[in-house]
Amino acid sequence: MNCKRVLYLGSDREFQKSLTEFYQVRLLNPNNLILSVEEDRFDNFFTLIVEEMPHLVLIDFSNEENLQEDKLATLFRQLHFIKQNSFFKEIAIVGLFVSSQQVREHLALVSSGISYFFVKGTEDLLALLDSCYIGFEQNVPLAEFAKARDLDLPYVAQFTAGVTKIGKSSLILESDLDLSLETSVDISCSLANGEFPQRCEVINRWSVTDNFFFNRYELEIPFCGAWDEPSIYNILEDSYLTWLDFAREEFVFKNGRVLFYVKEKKTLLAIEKLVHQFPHLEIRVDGRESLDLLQLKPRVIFLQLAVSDDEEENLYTFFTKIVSKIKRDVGYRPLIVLFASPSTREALSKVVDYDHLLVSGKVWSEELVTGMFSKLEQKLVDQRVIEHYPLLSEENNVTLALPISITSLTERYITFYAAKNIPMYSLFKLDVPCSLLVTIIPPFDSLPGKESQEHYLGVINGISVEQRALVRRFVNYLIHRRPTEFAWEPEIRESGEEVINEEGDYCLEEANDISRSTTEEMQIGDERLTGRDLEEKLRQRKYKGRSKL
Amino acid sequence: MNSDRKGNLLIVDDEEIILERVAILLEDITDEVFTAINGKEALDIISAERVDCILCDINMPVMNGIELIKEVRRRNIDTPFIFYTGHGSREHMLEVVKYGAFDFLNKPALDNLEDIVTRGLAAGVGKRVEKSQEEHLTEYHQLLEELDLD
Repeated sequence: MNCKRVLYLGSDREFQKSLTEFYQVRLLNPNNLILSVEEDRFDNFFTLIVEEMPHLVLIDFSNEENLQEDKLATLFRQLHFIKQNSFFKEIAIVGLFVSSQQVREHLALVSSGISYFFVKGTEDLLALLDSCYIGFEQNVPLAEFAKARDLDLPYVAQFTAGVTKIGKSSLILESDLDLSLETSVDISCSLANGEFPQRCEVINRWSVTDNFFFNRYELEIPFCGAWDEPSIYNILEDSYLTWLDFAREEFVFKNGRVLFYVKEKKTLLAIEKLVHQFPHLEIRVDGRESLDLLQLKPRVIFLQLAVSDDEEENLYTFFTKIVSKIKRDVGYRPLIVLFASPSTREALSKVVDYDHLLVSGKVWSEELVTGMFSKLEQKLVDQRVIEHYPLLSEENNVTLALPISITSLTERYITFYAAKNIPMYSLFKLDVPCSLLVTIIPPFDSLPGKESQEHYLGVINGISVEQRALVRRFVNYLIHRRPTEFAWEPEIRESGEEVINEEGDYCLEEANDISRSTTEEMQIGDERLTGRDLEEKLRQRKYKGRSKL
Repeated sequence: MNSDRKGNLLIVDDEEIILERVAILLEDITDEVFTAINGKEALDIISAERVDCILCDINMPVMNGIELIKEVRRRNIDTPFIFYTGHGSREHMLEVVKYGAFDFLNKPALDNLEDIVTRGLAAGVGKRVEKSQEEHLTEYHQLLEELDLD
């Protein structure tokens, strides 16, 4: 039976109720669903993931306690571990927030593997529908929304990327986007005290399907001549090198990749703890061969051989397969550490004709592995001769600009053309009509293609009820004004003249929005309004909207 | 005392000439040498005598080396097995390592015969138990030294 597992981490009883009803009554066969609700175990997030291996996880950040710096740092590390390791590739993670402001303050979570950001309010059903589609690609038909279609509006989407290493003349950047060699990419980051050039050329590229991001690039740092004025597109080489010299001591050196083949949950839990203990090691886990070993090239591979009698045969076959694969790459000779092997190192090395083995008859122990990791880390730190300095601080979060052409918009979905091969469930940011996130999802129906471009469907998220109302108005504006730019003109936003949807029921919805918004803060045009001013403005808008009918 | 014993060796091979020659070659490093021409005979000896190490061919009539090690392990006997190997026996090697092979000897050259059997006997009489954590770490450290970290 293909059982669906949903895990909700949070203490919002109302949401729990909606979630239970949605999955058990409205959507899935209850016999085919395991729905877990964990209120008090936010601290044990990773343990829960390993124990339950859910398909969909909803993390509720409503409780401010869970957003405390130390808790968030742990969660971020664990989310990163989950995204990075294909062991967990079936897990979709959704974040629930209390406001769009809270989303904006925690945008770093975008690059942690959370696929969808929902601002809780009166539209919880949306979160359930969207997350259900993201988790199970199971769509629930919903009333049609007003749709601005047949658009051809250019815009620049902001994708999250990570700078993993920086050097004297180039940097290594990882991204889900597929960039060609010699392409100029627009990036935005805080390196070099915020003076890092905003446009760099791709001079090298590697596909790294088993990494946190899918592609790795080397970008050349554009320096200006000694007598030139630096601009946003270049930097003085001397200034950059001085900054690098001062800053590099703060970078966390991380260059020792090790791979653990694990099957047991308790081993997985123990290894995740070691990730924190050994910052210089990149500790990866895999079930059985879902990673491309020759691409990942770990320096040390750990494998527990005989967990049970039933598995012995497969595990030995697996071990020989690993060694055959390694031997295909002449220059690659990792150390393989085998635990629980009934045969000796001498016997095994003759069977597979590979002598870089360490064989133990005992099952793996945290103490022994900790000792091994320490020795490897020490060796790596001692041999710190590298061209690029690995970067694992907050500074490595960068955004990559990607031109897209928007073809349709509703208050929930956006379709667009983009020249690049963008992986499903990638997230990007748009700033029109307000700051919002878009998660790329598989299209419900096929979308017409275009030469050299792909057509994508994205679900809008990370916005409040009020902001969704703005999107709704913007859709109407697009329908009726047919602008040539994907832009929101303040006077139109304030006039309210365009606020009628195709069904003509917009005013009622707006009235509801107003009643919800009166005590809150709201962005209208360029104005940020609160309290009485906001009420007054909304009353005017409500009136204008009705008079239009 | 275990430390004074060299250990008893059981040689299992269907070629009698090999049995005789190997028995003579290993006389000095063993306390006693038993011989069997197939796995079934070997099992009888294992049941009746103290055997500290088994030097065994893989391909034999009646009961081959794979069947023998399976049966020995089924009886919870963890005596070290050293197997003869020859051309085309890789599949068999892969099969026997699942049950705990101590080492392999290339037949007919039998390079390092004495050395391997000495270690096998030592393991069998209990002179050499499973490596300690410290030994593993030392070995690991040595292997790391060979690791190319560039």
